[in-house]
Amino acid sequence: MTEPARVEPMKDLEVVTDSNVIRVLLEPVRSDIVFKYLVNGSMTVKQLADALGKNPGTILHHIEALKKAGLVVQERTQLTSTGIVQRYYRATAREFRLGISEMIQANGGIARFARDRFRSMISSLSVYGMDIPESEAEQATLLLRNLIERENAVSSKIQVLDAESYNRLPPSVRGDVSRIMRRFALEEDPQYRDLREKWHDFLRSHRTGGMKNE
Amino acid sequence: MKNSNFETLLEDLRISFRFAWKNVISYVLAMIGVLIVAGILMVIMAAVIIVPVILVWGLEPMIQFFVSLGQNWSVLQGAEMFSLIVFLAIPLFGPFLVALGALFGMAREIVESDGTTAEGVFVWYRKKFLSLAGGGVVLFLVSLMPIALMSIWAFTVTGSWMLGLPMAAVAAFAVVWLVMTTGMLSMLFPGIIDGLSVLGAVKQSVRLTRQYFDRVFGTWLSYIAVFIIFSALTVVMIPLGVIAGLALVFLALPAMTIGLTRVYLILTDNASAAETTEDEGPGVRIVGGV
Repeated sequence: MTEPARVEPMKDLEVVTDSNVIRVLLEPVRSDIVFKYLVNGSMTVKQLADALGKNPGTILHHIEALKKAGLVVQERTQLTSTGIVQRYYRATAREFRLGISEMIQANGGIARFARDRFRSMISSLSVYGMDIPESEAEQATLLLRNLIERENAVSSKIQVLDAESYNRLPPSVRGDVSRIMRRFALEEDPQYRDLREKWHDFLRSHRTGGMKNE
Repeated sequence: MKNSNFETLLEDLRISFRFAWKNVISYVLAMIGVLIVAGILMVIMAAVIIVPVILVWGLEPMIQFFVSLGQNWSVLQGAEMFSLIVFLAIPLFGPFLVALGALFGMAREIVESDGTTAEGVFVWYRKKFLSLAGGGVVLFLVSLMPIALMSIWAFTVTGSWMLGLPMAAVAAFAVVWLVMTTGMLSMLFPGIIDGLSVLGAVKQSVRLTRQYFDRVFGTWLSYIAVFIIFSALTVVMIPLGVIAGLALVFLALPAMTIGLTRVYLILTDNASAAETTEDEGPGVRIVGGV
């Protein structure tokens, strides 16, 4: 007999590598449900429906898809005075990152979305005085992609040795210590440092103004 | 909250009927619409089965087949009879069982968010068609098939329909079996609507029944009592019984789906959520992003 699943505390970071899950997250309403609301705390179907201006039934179907994808969990149930049984849902992680390689290798829309996003990021660096010509956009994309992939790989491998104590930490403290450790783990990784150096060299060579802090 | 007493059962009934009444128009429209769709699907299913048979063998042999089936019904063996009933009944009644399951989808919307729409039932019907049909098949096989087989077996052995004491014994067994198995599977459709597979929903329903026997069976029996009362009123109060009949279909049935869904949601609350400490202060982070 299966017992009700134990609800694990929110992870600080989750790297999504399954292309089916990435596809679920790229649907606009589901993306809003997760990124705008449920990463910040738990909400009911009715609250989400009111916030998004959608029918509760529609939201319920989206929540089901997100639950199936492992992006959302049912946190608690509350019985109201009117007899409604409200279920509170929240995201499984405070921050989701999409696996770049998996997106690039995925079929159709996801790969196009990933390529367009990188192109857009590279060209948008011009607002900070980083003038990257179109002819070098491909190289910039590759450097940045490798850096982000390594960062995701290192960050998602950090082990929590005392999970029970970690889970008991207040959310803000858990977030802070997680970030301290992620930063430390990245600095400790020679491959990450090498990729970061290459990316920064590239940026330095295209700097036309601003950034006077060095 | 999860265990039962008389007051809890009355409260469950009161709330479910209040919600069913509040959403009666949505339910009436949805039930009419979904019955039309189920009827059309049943005709399509029948056509899918019968038309190829006619095309391959012709109309005459098929008529002969059904005539001989009628003549030889009493000499059919158990396995043959079982296969035949399953072969004919499941495809034909499947769409209606799915329609019943889809009503639990509407009930879920009401119980969780205080509102539903008539068109919502079609989304559940379409999205959960296979799972709900699977649930219907399980319900049919577990609850109805043994009774049908036992009646047919008794008819085959004795050569005629039983009367008197044997009949009363069989009828009593049938009633107890029906109430027990349907009660045990009363959380099946709410489970499927909650995203579980058919097998997962069956396990969940059995688990909840074992763990909260009083709540699940208490709720189930109270709706059976309501159905009996409404049915009796329908028969006794002719011609006013029409109103009781309509109330049975458009009020008591939705109330049952709402009541069972509500109990399911209450019983499946994750009581074992991991222990966490809330932020003492405003929960502001000091360390920035990496």
